[in-house]
Parts: sequence; structure tokens; C-alpha cells
Amino acid sequence: MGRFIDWLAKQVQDSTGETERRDLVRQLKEFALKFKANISDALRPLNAAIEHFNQRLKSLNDIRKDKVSGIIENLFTFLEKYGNCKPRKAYAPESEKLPAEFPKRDMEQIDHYIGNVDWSKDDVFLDTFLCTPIGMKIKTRGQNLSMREQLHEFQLQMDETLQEIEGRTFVTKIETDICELYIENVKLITDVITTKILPEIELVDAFFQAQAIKDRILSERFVEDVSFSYPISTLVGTPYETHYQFIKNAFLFYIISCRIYDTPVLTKLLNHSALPQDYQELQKERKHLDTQAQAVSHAMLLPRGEEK
Amino acid sequence: MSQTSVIQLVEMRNVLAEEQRRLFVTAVTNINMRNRELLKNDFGSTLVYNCARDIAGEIVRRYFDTSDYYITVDQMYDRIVHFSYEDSTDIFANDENLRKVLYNMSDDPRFSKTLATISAQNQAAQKKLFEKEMIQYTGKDGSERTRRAYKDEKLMDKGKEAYRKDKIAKGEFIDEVTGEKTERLEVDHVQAAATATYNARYMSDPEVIQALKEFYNSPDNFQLLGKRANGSKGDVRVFEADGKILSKEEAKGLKEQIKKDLTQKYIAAGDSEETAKERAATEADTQMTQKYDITFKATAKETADAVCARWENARQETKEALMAEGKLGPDGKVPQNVRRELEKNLQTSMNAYSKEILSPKIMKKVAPEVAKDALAHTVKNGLGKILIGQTIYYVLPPVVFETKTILRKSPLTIEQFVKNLKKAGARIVNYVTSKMGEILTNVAQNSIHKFIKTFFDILISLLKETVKKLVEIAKQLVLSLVQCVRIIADPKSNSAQKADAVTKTLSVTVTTVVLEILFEWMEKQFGLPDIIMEPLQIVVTILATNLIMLVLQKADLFDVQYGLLVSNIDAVFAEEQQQFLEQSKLLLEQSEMGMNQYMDELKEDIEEIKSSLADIDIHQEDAERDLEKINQAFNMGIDFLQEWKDFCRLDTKMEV
Repeated sequence: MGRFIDWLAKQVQDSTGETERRDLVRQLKEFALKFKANISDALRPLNAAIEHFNQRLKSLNDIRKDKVSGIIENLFTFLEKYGNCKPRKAYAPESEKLPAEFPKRDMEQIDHYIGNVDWSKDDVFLDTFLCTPIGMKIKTRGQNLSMREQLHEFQLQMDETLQEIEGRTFVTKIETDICELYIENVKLITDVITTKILPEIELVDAFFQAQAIKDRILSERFVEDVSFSYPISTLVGTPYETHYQFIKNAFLFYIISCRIYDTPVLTKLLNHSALPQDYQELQKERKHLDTQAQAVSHAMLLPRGEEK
Repeated sequence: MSQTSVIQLVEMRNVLAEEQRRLFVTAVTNINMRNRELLKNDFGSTLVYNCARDIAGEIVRRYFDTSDYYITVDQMYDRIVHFSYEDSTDIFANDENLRKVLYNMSDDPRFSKTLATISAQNQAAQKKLFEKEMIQYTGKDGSERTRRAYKDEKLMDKGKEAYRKDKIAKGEFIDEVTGEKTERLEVDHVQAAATATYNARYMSDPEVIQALKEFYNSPDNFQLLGKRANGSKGDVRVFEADGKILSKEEAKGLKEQIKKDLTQKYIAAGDSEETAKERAATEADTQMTQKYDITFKATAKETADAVCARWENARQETKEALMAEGKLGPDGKVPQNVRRELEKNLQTSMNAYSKEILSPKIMKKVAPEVAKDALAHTVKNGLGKILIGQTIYYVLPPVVFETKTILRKSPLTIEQFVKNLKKAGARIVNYVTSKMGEILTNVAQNSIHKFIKTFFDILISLLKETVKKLVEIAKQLVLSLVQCVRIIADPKSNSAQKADAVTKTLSVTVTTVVLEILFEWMEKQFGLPDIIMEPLQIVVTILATNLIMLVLQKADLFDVQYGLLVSNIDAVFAEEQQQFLEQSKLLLEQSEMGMNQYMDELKEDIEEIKSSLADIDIHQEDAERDLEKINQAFNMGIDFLQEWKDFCRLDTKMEV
């Protein structure tokens, strides 16, 4: 008797679509677990890449704060004597990347959906009773189709998230490379300043002092109490042009060093969100074409899909 | 080389993200759109569309005698227009073909070669059932005389006598047409013995002939009729020429014309006038019987009309007697009740005749002959067309497809054309070879269908009246059952699909039968001409068939449509998902390649700057070019020139 009732219940469940519904709920639950596992797995290399990026960024900040800061001081002291040299601004660190987080909202959405469709046996019994088996069949069929579509949507969403994470992982590596390049450049600048400019400062200073004294003597004025102006550009074309070049180079290195120090160049660069102009143009054109296609489609006698 | 910049890489990164998003949105949009198409339930337009196609197909099938190809023009058109090598849809297993098979159960006798052949063969095979001979007898005055009498006179007399006694015993000795007592009643053959024939093609067996003779002289073919009415009814015959029933005068005129023509022909051939007339009279009789006499297949109404016409056109004296018997009204016309009764008696007799034909005793002898002919028709008229139909269905569409494909490639040289043609030929041969199993199965199944259909058509041609209609219905049921067997035996369908197809087949068959009966009734009730009835029946049958099919599809009793919908939705998703993943992967690969390549270029540029600055003579060379490159590479936003100008704007003041 018990077997017969089980058999009968199965037949009713099969015919009303309840079996399919339960199977879909099971698939949804399995999918939720898969979503969690797959996304977590995909996030691991991304976060490793972010971690690595942050380490390199920290190195960059260290160089900027310690090394660049010192040379800026030295260059400023030197350069302010020869022109309108603006002092450096406050130090602005490059921002680290936050680790990629698990898409909780997506997960919640899936869980919430499962909660809604996972009817209890009592609900099913009550519905079957109230709607009759045929009514229940129609209701469950609609529900099952909707669940199937939802499952597909979730699956595609997961695929998209995984693709996005993969893309982000690659992009983070590229950004790390960019960071490395930037560090190399910063080091290059500091090296040139340290090895080629700073050792020459005293000599150049001495030259200009000597030049000033010479000029005063020639003008028969007292050296002690007479102040004079010396247009640096007058050295251009003279045997002393090398000193003009030196000051200019020192100034240019000073400017770039200041920018490295007081501006988070890399952060700004990586936060740049605009798309290239030609791409935007292309998108605009595509949008126009889409609109046109839609208009043509609406104007057709038979809607697409009915053409035979 | 243009200046490389990290910003380019960043933009490439942004494009990648944007494109990834776009691919996703495209995939979602495509899935939604395609699902919407699948879920769209446009009952009305589907009905109209299917009906329009079916009507087009039916017109060509019926009026151009294309039934034996087992493929309709609309199916062929669809196939040619939408052909692709990947399309594995079996049109012979879908709802549309179910309908086509059901329509193909009957043909129009005016256009069907098979039916025309059967009809001609039947006409030619008619032999008189009751032959006459000259017999001698002794007259009342004791003299020896001769007269023409039926060879089976004894059988006839015995039957009539038994009938007369039976009626007297039952107290039913009345005129069975008027229902009134008449003084001089005779036992009359309802279907006249003089015009009774048998089909020598199928009923030449002596046992069958004897059974028919016995039937004609059985109570089933007797009625009590006033002597004058019986006498004037005589050997009434029904003639037909060009699809029109001829009146007595018309038939007589036709016979005279034939006789005249033949006489002239024979005289011209050298006969004497007397001989020519004699030969012409005999030949005209034969021609009238073989070409125009349709008494053997006339309906009860047609025969009753012929009897009534004879009564109404009888001599005055006879007419008066008939009026006295109640066969004619005061206006000289046969009253409706008499006409109806006459027709009813004929109908009853004809039905009894048909039942006799279908009795096991006769069928045992007749069926093998009918089957033999049905097979001959199938092989002679059907098989060739069935093969052509299959060949056209499987060969023509790929040929058209390949031709279109080749012609689309322009400009095309002769060499390229020949080369493409060779490749296309190989593809077509491969395709047709791969379909050989299906072609042979279809040929076999269609041949069986044709055989059964023809078997029934021959059998039906031997029957009369209501039974004839019933056997027509039986034919439809048998063909439906054959179709059901075909569906059940199909290894490609699952149980639900089979149950669904069988339900649809049977439901539509029942509907068609009901409509057949309804139209039969309408024809009798309203007497609408064929020109209206025929198209009306075609249209209503098609409409009802499609309606039933769509209703059953909607009801989806076996979840077939739902299953199909689900599998289509799954297929759409799988296809779009795969496409999305492939495109995403490709996008990522291309982006990676592009960005890596750009990164390499960037690194090269930076290397150049590095080596340039490493070797720079700080007093002699200007560092601005290299620093500007760095500025641009990292989008630092420095305007070196402006900065230098600002620096130099004031005179250099030196504190010494």
C-alpha cells in the first residue's frame, strides 16, 4: 500500500511539474555552491596580484618619501638663488588597491531567489488542493520556466564575473608592470640628480659667485655692499653656456621630482576612467546603427522570428 | 614612432572592461529576445499562416494530381528556401506533415490518374448479371412458342414467390412505395435485374456471381409495386456524359448520334446500308453500356430520379394508371413522398448489396484481386512519383543552395566556377548518401500508404450508398492507424512525442470524418452545387484540422511542447553562453596581446630614455627631451617650457 501511495505521489508530482521544480531548486542550490567556490577560486590569483601590486606601490612610496624628498630639498636650495623657484608642495602618497571582494550582493540575490522558490511540502500540498492538479500544473510550469531562465541568468552572470575577474587579474599584472616602470623612472631621475647634478652644484655656485665678483670689480664698485642682478639667459651663446644648461637641467629635474613627490601620478593614471576617443566614436556609431536596425525591425511586416 | 604612453594602456584596459560588459549585455539581450520568441504564443497568426500554406498545398495536390509525390509544394518551398546542411529537422515527423498525410487520404476523382484508371477499368469490366436466352414454351392454345427469358428465371420466380408469401403472411401486402393497398401488386426488383451488372475484373468467380444473383433475388432487393408502375419502370438506366446525368431523351439522342456516326463510318468502309445499320446498332449499345451507362454505380437518388422521369414521361394511358396507383400526382409529377420512398428502398437495397460485397464469403474472393490491382497501381502509378518526390526533396534543395552560394561569389572565373561546382557536387553526393536510409524508409512507408489507399479506393468503387461512405471513413481510420504505427515505430521520437502525434492524428481523423458526414448532410439538405461544396469542404477541413492541432498543441497533453520549449530554451542558453565565453576569451586574448605588445614598446622607450639620461652631459646637453618623454609616458601633466619661463621671468638675483 505504502509503495502504491509513493508511486501515485510520484505520478502526481511528475504530471504537475513538481518533480521538475524540485530538480530545478536542487540545481539552483548546487549552482549557489558552485558560484561561491568558482568565484572564490578566481579571486585568489586576483588578490595575489593586487597584493603584489600593493607591495610594489609601497616600495614606490618609500622611494618618493625618502629619496625624492631629500633631493628636492637640495635642488630647491640651489635653484632658488637663480630664479623663481617654487617650493615643493605637501607629500601625496600613491593609493594602494583594495583587495577584490567576493560579490556578496550577487550571492545574496541567488540565496534570496532560492528562498522564494524553495516551496515547502505544505505549500505545495495547499496549492495543489486549492488550484487543483491541473491548475497546479499550469502554475508550476510557469514557475519552472521562470526558474530555468533565472538559473541561466545566474549562470551567465557567473561566467561574466569569472571573465571579469580574469580580466582584472591580467590588468592588475599590467598595472604592476606600469608601477615597476614608474619606479624605474623615479629611480632614474633620482640617480641622475644624485650622480650628475648635486655633485656639480658647488662648482656652479662658485662660478656664479666668481662671475659676480668679477663683474663688480670691473664696474669699480665695492664688492661688500653692492647687490646686482644677473640675467641667466645672457649666458646663452657665451663660453659659459654650460652653466646655463646645468641650471636649466637642474630645474627640470627639480620640477619632475616635485611632481613625483607631491602628486600621486600613478594613482591618477590608473584611475583614469575615460575611454579613448575613437572608441567612443565607434560606440556612438554602433548605437546609431542599433537604433536604425530597431526602427527597420519595427517597420517590418513580420516581426523577426516569424519569418519562415 | 609616436610617443608611447601609459595612458594608452589604461585606455586599453578600460576598453577591455567595457567590451566585457558589452558582450555580457549582448548575450543577456540575445537570450531574452530569443526566449521571448520561443514563449510567444501567437495562436491566431499561426493558425492563419498554417491554413494559408495548407490551402496552397492542397490546391496543387488535388488539382494537379501530386498526391503520389508525398510532398506538397509548400513543404518543398520551405525546404528549398530554408535549406542548410546542418538542419536535421525531419519534416516527415512534425505536426505539419501529420496534417499533410491526413489530407492525402483522398483524391479528387476528376484529377487523380489512379482514380480515373480505376473508374475506367470498372466501367469496362461491367458484365450483365442476368443473361437472357430464347426458351420454348406451350401457349394457352397448346401451340409451341418461343420467348426471351432470363436464364435464372427460376431463381427469380422462387425469390419473388417467397417474398409475396412472406408479405401476405405478415399482412404487409401493400404497395411499398405509396404505402397503400393496390389491387394488382407485383414483386419488383428494387435494383432492376435487367440492368444488374457485376465487375468481371474482381468478381468473376462463379461463387461470387451466384451470391450476387441470390442477393438480387432476395427480400433485400424486392419491393411490392403496382403492376403499371413496375411495368413502366422496366429496365431503367442511368447515363452520364461529361459528368452530367442524362435524361431519357438526352440518352436516346446520344445513342442515335453514335448510331448515325457509326453507320456512316461502316458505309464508308464498304458495308451495305443494312449491314452498317445493324453493326452500328450493336456497337452503339456496347458504347452506351461501356462509356455512358453508370447504372451500376448510380446513387439511390440518381436511380430514383431516373425512375420518376420515366413515370412522368410515360404514355398518357400509363400515366393515368400511375395516377390511380398514386405514383403520379394530379399534375403528372411524382409526389415527394413517393420519390422519397422510392429512393429509400433503393438506398436500403444498395446498402444490402454493399454489405453482401463486404461479406466474408465474397471478400475472400474479391480482396486478393483488389489487392493485386492496388499493388499494380502502386507500382505503376505511385512508386515512380514517390521516388521522384523523395529525390526532389533531398536533392533539389542542396543543389539550389550550392548554386546560390557559387553565384554569390563574384567575380567568378570559369576555373573557379568549375572548381566550386566540383566541391559542391561532392557535398551534395555526401549529403544525399547520408540520407539514403531515410529516403528508402520514406519510399517504403509512402508505398504502403499508396497501396492501402488504392486498395480502399477500388473496394469503395465496388460499393454503393451509405456503406460506400462508411468504407470511406474506414479507409481514413485505417490510414490513420497506419500513420500511428509509423509514428510509434519511429526510433527518433520518444514516448511522449509518439503519444502526442498519435493523439493528434486520431483527433484530426475523427474531426475529418465528422466534417465528411456533416458535408454529406449539408449537400443533401441544401443541395449546394459542387462548385461551392468542394472548396468549402477543403477550406473547412483545413481550418478544423489546424484548429484541432493548435488546440492540442496548446493543451500539450503529453508535455511535448513544454519539453520542446524547455529544450529550446536550454539550447538558446547553451548557444549564447558558448558564444559569450568564446568571444570573451578571444577579447581577453586580443587585449592581452595588444597590451603586452604596447607594454613592450613602452619598456623599449623607457630603456631609450634611461640610456640617454645615463650618458647625458648635464652641462652640455638638454635633458628636457627625455624628461618630456617621461612626462608624457606617465601623463604627469608638466609643462616644462612654461615652468622654465616662470623660473626665468624674474631677473636672476644673486646674493654674494
